[in-house]
Amino acid sequence: MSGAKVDTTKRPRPAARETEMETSILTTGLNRRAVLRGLGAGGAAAATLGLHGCGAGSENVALSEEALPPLLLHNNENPLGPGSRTLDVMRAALGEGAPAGRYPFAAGARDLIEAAAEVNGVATDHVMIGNGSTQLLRTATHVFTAPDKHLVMGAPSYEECPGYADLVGHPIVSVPLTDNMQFDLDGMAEAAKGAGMVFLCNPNNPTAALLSADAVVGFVETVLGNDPDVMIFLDEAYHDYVTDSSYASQIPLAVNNPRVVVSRTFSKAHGMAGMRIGYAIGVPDTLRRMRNWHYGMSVNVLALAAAAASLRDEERLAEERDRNTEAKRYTLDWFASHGHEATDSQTNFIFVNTGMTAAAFRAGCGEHGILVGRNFPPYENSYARISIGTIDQMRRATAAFGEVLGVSAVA
Amino acid sequence: MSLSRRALFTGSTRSRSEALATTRARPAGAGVWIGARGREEAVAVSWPHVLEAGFVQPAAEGEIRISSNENPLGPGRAAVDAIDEQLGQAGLYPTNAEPSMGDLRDRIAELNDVDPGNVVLGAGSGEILKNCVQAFTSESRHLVSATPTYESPRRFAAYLGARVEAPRVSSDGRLDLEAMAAAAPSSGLVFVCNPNNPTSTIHNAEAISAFVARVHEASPEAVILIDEAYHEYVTDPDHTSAIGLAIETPNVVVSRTFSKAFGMAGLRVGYAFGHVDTIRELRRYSLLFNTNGMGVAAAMAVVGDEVRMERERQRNTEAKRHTVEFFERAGMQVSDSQTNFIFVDIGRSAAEFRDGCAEHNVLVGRDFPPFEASHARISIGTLEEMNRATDVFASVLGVEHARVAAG
Repeated sequence: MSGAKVDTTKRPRPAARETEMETSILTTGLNRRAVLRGLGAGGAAAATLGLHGCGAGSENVALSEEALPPLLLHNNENPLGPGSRTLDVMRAALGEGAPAGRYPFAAGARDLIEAAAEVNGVATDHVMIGNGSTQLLRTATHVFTAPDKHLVMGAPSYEECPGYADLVGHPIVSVPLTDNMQFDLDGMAEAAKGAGMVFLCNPNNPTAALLSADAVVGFVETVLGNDPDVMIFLDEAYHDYVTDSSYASQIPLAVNNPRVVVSRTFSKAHGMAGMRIGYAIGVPDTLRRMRNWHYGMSVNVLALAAAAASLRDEERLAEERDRNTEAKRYTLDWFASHGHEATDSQTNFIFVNTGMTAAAFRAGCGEHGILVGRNFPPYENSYARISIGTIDQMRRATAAFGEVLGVSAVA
Repeated sequence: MSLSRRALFTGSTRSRSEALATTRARPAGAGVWIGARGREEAVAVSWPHVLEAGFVQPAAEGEIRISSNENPLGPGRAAVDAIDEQLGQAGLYPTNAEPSMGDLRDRIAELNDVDPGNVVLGAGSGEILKNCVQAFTSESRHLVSATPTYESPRRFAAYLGARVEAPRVSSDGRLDLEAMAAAAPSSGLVFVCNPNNPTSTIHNAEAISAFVARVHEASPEAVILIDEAYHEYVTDPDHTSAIGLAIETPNVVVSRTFSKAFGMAGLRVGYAFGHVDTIRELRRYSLLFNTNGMGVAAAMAVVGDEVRMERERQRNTEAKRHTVEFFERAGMQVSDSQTNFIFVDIGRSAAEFRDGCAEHNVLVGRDFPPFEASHARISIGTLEEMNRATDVFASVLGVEHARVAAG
């Protein structure tokens, strides 16, 4: 791992506060607007890159007169949004507006639950719906951890569970990743003794790295062998982007084991981060425990209809996976050709050693109208998380990265 | 990205019929779904897990759903167009889309002449109610509510092991503010639904202000949550919002929703006002991206539209007057409704009335103990719907019905 000196003796606090801070900045719209202002200042540089980063031409004269839209490569969104069939379903669900005046019907929820059960080969009472998977993560953290039942997580990983545990005063044990940026499963299993819940994000955000199906199953056996009362929450947000054949979803485990819950989201490959919908799969009694505290009216009617349709549109999902794999390949090749190492990404983002701080890289990219990921301690001195846009967007992005990193823009 | 109106309605035939197919079932108690066109068409699928989650039963084709205090017209053309426009940004988190969650918060602040720091958004006001319970009650700090009132805070408080004190409303259906104030010392949260659901009555600004002062005199740290979900429907000139009070007074929160007069129950957008310190505390509990992009866009399109709101208020007032007159002619007492529903003493059980109406495809409100043996809550639909509904009520209640011409 060139240039990445990782201190594994440190147990960093999860970066939940930072996420919240970033969210609050984003919520004000400041970040996005700052980028647009930045374009005003460095507009010429940005404009000469062209929309597609393909050299100078008369088009660029026009481009320099209207700022390029900022390129959002910081929140692991799907650049294309939902598929056309899903959009049609949303329009139909909206009709002339009157359906939006009605509370989310049980029928709408039923439609999504049926679709999720069908595509995952489970019974309908194994499915629970949330406002994105983040609400399900929060609900699970609330229900399964306590002041004397801590949360275990690898660090860095997605910050929602530790952020919530911190809010409600439930203790957190963060186990640093290994030198290879993999989960330290032995360390986590040890830390799980007496815990309320273990949070495992697979593939992991921000490292994009994957645990094989065998590794996850072995981990669950070890944890529950040590302490059968621990809950294991498996976040499979990036499931649909995985291409590694050693991976398998743990939904089959979750429908048979009351101590395991799997969450999925429509925010990533399904392209519906703005719709706020996700689901969890577990045994009915486990889900009932979550539902007792869950705020169920958090999902909207359009999202329910769209999510059901998108789940059934397997063709679109396969297209999206291929599109992402190709754009990611291009981006990883670009970094490799300039000597920058990245982890083996199984997601729609990459985690790459830029040799500069994430903050400096982010600021440099911002000058070019490109937003990239936040800090992920303890890697914030050398690694950046970059979401994968369309291949044209990644051409524009790598041209900017070349300038920020001081390498030739032409690979 | 702009999507044409034409595109909006092409290629959707299949989806439309599918959508209709899925709305032809509704639960009829005990988690059993019955075909809406008649009990013999029993779908007989048990879905308790869906109903547990709080989802509302659907209306089928031809049914009049006046059971959930919804706006029968929805949010209107401007909101539909805004959503249409926003679909191109469905892939972006609501913080990244334009308009963003932050834009909506800022716009609400601007319209109410307060700072953005005084405003928090929610996935409907329901999320804000839950977050208030979580933030401010505990095993040692109880909830003060009322009987009957909107039930959700009570449910979440019970989960947290917080005691609930819920004085019964006065004989005119109004919240018994005396009794509630008496129950408030050492409480964590006092829930004041104004106008109150299900009794539809209000207390005026002066009474609310005096109540807040009295509660805070004894317990300055108790948070008073004033739920103004039905504010836009109020016609009583004595009423004013408590927003001003909430901004100036720490530990007072006023919640509002787009689910009622704005016609967006399905889009899940609510908001609340308070002192900047109170809102800062409340925000810590908010879901990360609680308001969805389509809801944000629709809300931006309608939030400042006073003309549309006045039209909606008048529409509701007229349809309500028609309905109230029907019951009064039948000799049944109706509480003074300042909302889009009425609470009527029908002199028989709500369940019996509800079942009778359901036989005629009219869905009315749930039980509200301790009035479930005598009172029904009926939402106000369109005038046309209320004309049909009152025909059904006359038949179910066995009273004479001289229909007033719709005007």
